Amino acid sequence: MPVVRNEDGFVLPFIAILLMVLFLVGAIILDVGSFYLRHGELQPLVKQSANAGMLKFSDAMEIKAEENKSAQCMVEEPPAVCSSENMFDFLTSGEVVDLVGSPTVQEAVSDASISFLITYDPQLIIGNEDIQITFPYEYEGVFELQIQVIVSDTPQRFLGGIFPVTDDEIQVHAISYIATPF
Amino acid sequence: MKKLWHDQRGQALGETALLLPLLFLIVFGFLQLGLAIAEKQKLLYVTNYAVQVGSLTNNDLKISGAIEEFYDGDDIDFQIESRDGETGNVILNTNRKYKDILTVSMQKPFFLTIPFWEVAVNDTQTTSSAKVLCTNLDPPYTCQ
Repeated sequence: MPVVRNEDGFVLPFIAILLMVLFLVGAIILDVGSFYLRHGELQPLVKQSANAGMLKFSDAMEIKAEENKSAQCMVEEPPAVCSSENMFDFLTSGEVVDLVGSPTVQEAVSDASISFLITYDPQLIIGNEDIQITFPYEYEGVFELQIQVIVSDTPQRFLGGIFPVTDDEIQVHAISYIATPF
Repeated sequence: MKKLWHDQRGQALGETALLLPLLFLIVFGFLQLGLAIAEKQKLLYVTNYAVQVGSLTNNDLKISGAIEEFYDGDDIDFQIESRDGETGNVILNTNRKYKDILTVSMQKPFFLTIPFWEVAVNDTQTTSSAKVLCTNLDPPYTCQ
């Protein structure tokens, strides 16, 4: 058994294997770390973009309420409700349903969400193709209107993917809602 | 001299001594990398928290107070920027109102920690933005 007993150059192959293991550990640290960092960056951003979408819908309701208020209150003896600042005093549930179903409003809501995501992504890498918006989401009536925003992103890979540890893409979703009295 | 050249005793020790600094560097580098990622994760969390607090107020002291909850006395730098919700133009932070956009950016130097020696190598930077919601949702929608 001369080969087994010969310890010449024993340390070099041992270190070579050890280095590979160490690089693998490093790849895990980098892959998992960058995955969680990006996830942590995207989660509040997506939530805020959902809020931006719902605020846009709130704008549409405000505009409609203002129109109705002008029509009702531009008379010599306006009704008592005209002193109200609550927009829901000048809206009917049917009008809110119409707004929800309006393609123009739906597009404006989506645009507001998308624009927030693209503008305020700290890494400025999110594109339209990474974003999926559902409005209205789980629609069961206008008492609670929801929007769902899903963003997909590919995490950075250590050494350009030579040691890809995390294979999944990052997917973050958030829901925002607005409650109405109807 | 020829005899000494062919003497293989202590060979492993010699090779190990050669490669040990390299191993130390690699292991230490990964350790620092892990620490840097953890540091950035914390900074990101604090930035998001500061934006959430800030989106309910136009009082910047509340934002700095939220940051100090986590980094009291630390070498930390942050900027607060407010933009008009409609035009996107930068506005005074005190004029921030409902539906405007608040952005908080934070920088913290990352220290390479070697036993008995600390050196700042780079700034860890995070940014977070939010629509201002305020606590006062009735007209004139001014923040508290």
